[in-house]
Amino acid sequence: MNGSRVNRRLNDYLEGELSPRARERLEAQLEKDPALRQELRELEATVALLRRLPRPEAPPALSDGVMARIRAGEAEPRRWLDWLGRLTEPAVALPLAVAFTALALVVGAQRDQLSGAGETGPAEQVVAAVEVPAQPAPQVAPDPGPARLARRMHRLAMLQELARTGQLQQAAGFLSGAGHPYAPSFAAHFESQTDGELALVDFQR
Amino acid sequence: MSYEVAEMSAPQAAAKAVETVVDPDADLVERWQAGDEAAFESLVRRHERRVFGLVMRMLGDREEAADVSQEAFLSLHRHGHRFRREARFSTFVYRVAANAALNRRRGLGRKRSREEALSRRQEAGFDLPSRPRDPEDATAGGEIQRQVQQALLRLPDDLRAAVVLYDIEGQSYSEIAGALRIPEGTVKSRIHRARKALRDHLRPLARATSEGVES
Repeated sequence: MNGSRVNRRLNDYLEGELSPRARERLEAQLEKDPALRQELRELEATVALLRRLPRPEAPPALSDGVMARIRAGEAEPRRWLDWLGRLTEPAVALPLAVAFTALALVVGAQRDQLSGAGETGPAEQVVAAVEVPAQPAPQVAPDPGPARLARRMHRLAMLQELARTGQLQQAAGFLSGAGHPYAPSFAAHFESQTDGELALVDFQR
Repeated sequence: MSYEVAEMSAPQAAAKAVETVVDPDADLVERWQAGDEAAFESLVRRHERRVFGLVMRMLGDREEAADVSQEAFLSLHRHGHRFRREARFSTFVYRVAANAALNRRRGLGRKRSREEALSRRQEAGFDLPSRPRDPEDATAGGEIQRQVQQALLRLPDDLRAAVVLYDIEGQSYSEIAGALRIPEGTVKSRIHRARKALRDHLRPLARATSEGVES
């Protein structure tokens, strides 16, 4: 038997918690093994020392002190702590967890829709109108010169149309929010134009 | 061949034998929860000695134990409406008292460990005592009690709480499991480990005691 198993057996023996068969086996072992007998005696003596410790008398003023402090208002229930404590109780915690999960799912679905996975909003519709769908994204494969020029012209034409029809603020707002690299300068021009005579600002950049 | 086991005191035996009994505090608890302060005062008087005893054995200092015992009763009063009578009131009291003592131990951890180190050096004869000993230590019995208390203080908190509740306070495994919120198997294992550690700390005393018993 290893040390901890011996210790457990000896404790169970002292507490009378061994089965009759296990008890007989241990007693046979104790007969043969003086070191084990010594271990048992010391354990038994240790338990006896512990159990002989008297329960100390409480100080005479203890209960009076407690009641005086209660009357002074030191033991008022802290309701907010109770509420916090109640959050861990299954009856409260489970419905809360379900509600939060449902809320997270709804918010997540709405964000998916706004980011273009579902229906497109007004801003995305403008993007779709301005972008040339067939062209590859510049970050992935840089365009050759003529194609890039053609796309810019197309965009500018679209923006001029927006300016001509008086939708300057909308166009400027769209450009600012769309993350277009020329958005700030385009937006500034749109805001400064009143008649739709739009210069090809930054066109040669 | 048979070996006599350490005898339990009558209250200890009764406490261990009877796992499910009618709570003797039920009436007072009901009145207190209905707002009767006098009922709470009766509960305090009924349980003050066991609360103080547990805290005293956990902390080893009378003044600190008195302070922590008061705090434990205030906490009990503050959160008493949460006691739902699923266990005996005494188990709830022990839980609150043990928590209060353990919290104080944690709060004073560093200071305490310095004091314990000093105490160990004093025992080994390297330092002079820093404060006068308790008058009860003048007797042989008092000296033995002091050594046992010192050995208890050298145990880790979790082991000490379990062994104090079992061997000194006479609580059953299930009551201790309820008070410390741990499984019964863990309670038993902690008691066994605590006793082994105590036997190692108290070996000369345990040897002398066992030889005295045999002669």
